[in-house]
Amino acid sequence: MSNVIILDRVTKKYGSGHGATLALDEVDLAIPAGQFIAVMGPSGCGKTTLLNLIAGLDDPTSGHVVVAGEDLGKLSERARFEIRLRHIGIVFQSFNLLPRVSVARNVMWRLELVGLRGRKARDRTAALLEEAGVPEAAWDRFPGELSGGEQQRVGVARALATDPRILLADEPTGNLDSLGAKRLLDQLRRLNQQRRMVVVLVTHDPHAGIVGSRSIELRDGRVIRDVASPPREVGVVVPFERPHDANG
Amino acid sequence: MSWPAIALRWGWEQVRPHLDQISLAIVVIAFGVALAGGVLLANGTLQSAFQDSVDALAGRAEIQIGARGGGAFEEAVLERVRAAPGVAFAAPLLQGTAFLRDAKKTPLRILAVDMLDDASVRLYRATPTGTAGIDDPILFLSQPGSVIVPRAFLVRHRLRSGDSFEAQTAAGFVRLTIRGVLETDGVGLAFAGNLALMDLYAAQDVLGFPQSVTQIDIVAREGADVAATAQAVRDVLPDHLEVEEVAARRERLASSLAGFQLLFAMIAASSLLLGSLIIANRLNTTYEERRWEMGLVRSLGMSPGELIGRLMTEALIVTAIGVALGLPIAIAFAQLVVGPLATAMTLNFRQEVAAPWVEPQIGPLALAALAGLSSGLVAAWLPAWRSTRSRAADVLAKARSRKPEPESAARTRLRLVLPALAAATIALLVGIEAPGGILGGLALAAVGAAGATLVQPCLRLVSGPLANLIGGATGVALDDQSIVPGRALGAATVLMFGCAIVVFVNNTGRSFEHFVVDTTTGVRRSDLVVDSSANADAMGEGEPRLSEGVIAEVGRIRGVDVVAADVAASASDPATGILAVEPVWLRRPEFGDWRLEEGALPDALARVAEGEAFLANFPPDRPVRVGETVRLMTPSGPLERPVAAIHRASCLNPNGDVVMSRQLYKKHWRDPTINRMYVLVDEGVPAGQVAREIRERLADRWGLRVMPGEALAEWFASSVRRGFAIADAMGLLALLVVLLGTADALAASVVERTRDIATMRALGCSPALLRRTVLAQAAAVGFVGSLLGLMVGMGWSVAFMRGIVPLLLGWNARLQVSATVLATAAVLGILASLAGALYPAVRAGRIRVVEALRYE
Repeated sequence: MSNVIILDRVTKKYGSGHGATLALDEVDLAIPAGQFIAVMGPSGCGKTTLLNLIAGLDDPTSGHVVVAGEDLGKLSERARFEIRLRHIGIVFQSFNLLPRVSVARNVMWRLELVGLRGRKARDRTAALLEEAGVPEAAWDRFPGELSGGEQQRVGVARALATDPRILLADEPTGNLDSLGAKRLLDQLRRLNQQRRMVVVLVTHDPHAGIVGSRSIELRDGRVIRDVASPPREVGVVVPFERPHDANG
Repeated sequence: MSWPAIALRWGWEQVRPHLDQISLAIVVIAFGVALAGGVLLANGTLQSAFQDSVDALAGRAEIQIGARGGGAFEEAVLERVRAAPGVAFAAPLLQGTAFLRDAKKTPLRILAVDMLDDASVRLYRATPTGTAGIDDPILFLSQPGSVIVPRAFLVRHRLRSGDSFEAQTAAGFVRLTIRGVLETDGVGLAFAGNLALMDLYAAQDVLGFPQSVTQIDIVAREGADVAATAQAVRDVLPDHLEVEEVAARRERLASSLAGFQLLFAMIAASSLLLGSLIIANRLNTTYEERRWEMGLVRSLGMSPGELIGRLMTEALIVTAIGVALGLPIAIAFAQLVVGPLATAMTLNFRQEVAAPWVEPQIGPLALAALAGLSSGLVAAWLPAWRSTRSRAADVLAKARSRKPEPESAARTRLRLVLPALAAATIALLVGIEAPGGILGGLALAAVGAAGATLVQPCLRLVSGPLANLIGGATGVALDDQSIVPGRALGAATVLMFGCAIVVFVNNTGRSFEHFVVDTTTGVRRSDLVVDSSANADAMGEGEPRLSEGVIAEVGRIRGVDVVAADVAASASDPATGILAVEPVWLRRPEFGDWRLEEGALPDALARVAEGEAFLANFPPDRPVRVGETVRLMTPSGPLERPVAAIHRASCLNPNGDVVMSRQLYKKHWRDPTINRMYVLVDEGVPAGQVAREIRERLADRWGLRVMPGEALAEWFASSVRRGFAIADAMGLLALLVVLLGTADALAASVVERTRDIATMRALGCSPALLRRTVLAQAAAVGFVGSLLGLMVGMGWSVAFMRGIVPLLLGWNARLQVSATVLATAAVLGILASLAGALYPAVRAGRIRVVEALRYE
């Protein structure tokens, strides 16, 4: 099975000298197509840094990050944007929807970026929102008028707009209640199974961590555990919220 | 430590870490203050320079005598004045203008007094050190070209006592020799130092006014009542001489100056408004960004009052830094605009007003500083006050959620536009010519208010459909702007007023230019025009004159068929413009059409040529009919003639003009000078050949300028344009303001949308695309601001030309609009908006995604 994501001895340091922080320390990771991987670990262990490097939002201090067969370090800025646009979808903890445009526009603009216009873009937006479970009545409303769960579903629809091979989810359940979190994780698992999409889920939540087919644990920038496990159904759990993690 | 010191320290501690972020705010404040302060200072400097000249010339005099309507009068009345009860001493004065033979043709005001007369000495030559230093009184009086000049004049022209220089007068060039120096006080202050004191009798020859004076200054006896003395003098003088107390004269001049200064005050006020708008917009942005922080400190126990107080202190520091930087720039800016302002004043008063060196004045600078500080405080107060109105927890929760404004609020605002639009339309269409200019003024205000209120709906109207059309990230940005115009609103409003000012000033300038040229050149057709080479601006009465002797000399040039001359002057009671022309001009139709109205006497022009009648061109509030007698007060007494025809070929005085024979004028005004000659050449003779001959034989001796007849219209037009030179400065200013305003608003918008931009980049939007989104926003702002600016500018132009000009000047000048100017204003507005967007666009492209998202 070919690897869609490869991290080869990736190190990431913030700052320099005595004040430098080591976020990732020689991490090796290979993620094949269709894998649902949960990245877990305490605050500051390097989870978000790992996600940023895979998304090409940040550069490693050393090592290589290969995504969809391309070494990100060797690509121009423009090529990286292309990869992000066409191959990667990102779901954020705080949704990061554009607050002053409609729900539909939040999804449609990415379709327009890849050249889908007019009726085709509208129809595809409707299909994505429907698939994500966003009620039609909400499509013309502003994100701020929706519940947290609904907003996150819009975020997923937006991430899927360009039919990416990789979905990166950074603490996507962090701002959801337990029911909302369960529905979202189910949705991610369904996407992974139906579309053979790589899902990289960064989470603090041990309940969320069990939905993946593989689970790795980071501590102090190193992978301390990497286990394959059969994905399990997530039950409704007591809300588990922690403050947002600055570095991972 | 005292409370203010603690507050200041706290404020500074808050400001210091953000200095880089608020540097744009400081620059904007500095520019706003410089803009307002510069115009106010230039205005104030010119006002004081003009007032200084008036005061310096009045000297110790308490009463002044002059000819009604200006001009020279008979010197012989002096003895009667001196004999009048209450008069301690009376001194004659003759004023005239000469021009230096330099590249600029610098005007030199000649003040001629009787150097041997004790009264004159006591009035004019007294200085704190005793007397104005004449090196050798006998030599001074024996040499006709002797002058005393202010020390500033010597310094400016690098001359020394004993040096000679050439000056151009009506009689040609004369050589003047400096035989004394006036220290820079008293009379030496007048006319920015460009003056020469001469002996009266020598000056009468040089200026061509034998046995005439233009003024008699009187000091009352000690203990004598000044008003009673003035009345006693009035009793011994003929009616055509006006006796006025100096205090009353100062007041009259101040009031006429105030009327003129109203225009500049309006410019200063609009500069102040624009400056305040920019400052308020910038600081408001800065503090809106910090609403979360305000919520935080409140939740930690700070009372709303304390929070407002501390933010005010902080705003005070930021604004004070901006103001401190802005004030020196204001002084430099004032120096830049004082020249165009002086030109406008010169043309308005038909008297040379020198552009003085601008010195800092407390009043204008304090006003600009105060406006800057108060704008800053108000701008900071609004978000602070808003954040204290609700619960701290709500402020924290809402500070980062930029929910769109409820539709109902936008609708309410839109509803506000309707009354303003209705008022503007009613005022413009129904009764703008109402007396008192109330409706004209109302229309000006209503059009501005309507424009300002329309900005937001128009931005929505344009940005929404454009967003759908363009789509993608650019569509998102435009959609965002259409839903929450926020910062774009400020930029578009600034742009709208900037464009409106440019259009308004250009339209009015063009309309005046067209009116003046059309009116004055219709009757001035000739092959050649000859006037003084010192003639810089067409001012009518105030233009450099030529002695009438030159007419005959030009007439003797081979190929000249006929020479006609004119002279512009004025009469008083009521003030009336006088255009005196050579009889031959009225008899020869080749000189043009007098535009006589129906009902003119069949031999109207011939009767005027004979000196038996006038042509009249009076405004509607001074109706006159053919056959009625018009009475003018001249320097020689009343002059009455019947009106032979109503004409529309002059615009010398808003109160009305009279055309008469130059011979009649010369006799009653005691003035043998002329403004200009119009030459018709013999048939078949090339005009260029005659022009060459006039130049070769006469130009140097008389100081003549010869131009083709068709060049006259352009010269008149260029003079009007120079009068409106301030328009160029205003246009430049407006564009600068627009540039800064757009840059500021869009930069604020980028900061405000940092998270959105970072998200878009994370989801595949390239920096280049993000740059384009900001430029698209700017283009929408530019389009809306420019379009509304054109509309507001046009509305202002109509209101001003139809509602105010007829009342102020009595002229019904048709509004002239140039499509080129409108197009240029719109294009420049949009370009300025785009240029202003460059920095924010670059900034948007450079946002570091990881940091921006981590910050969130």
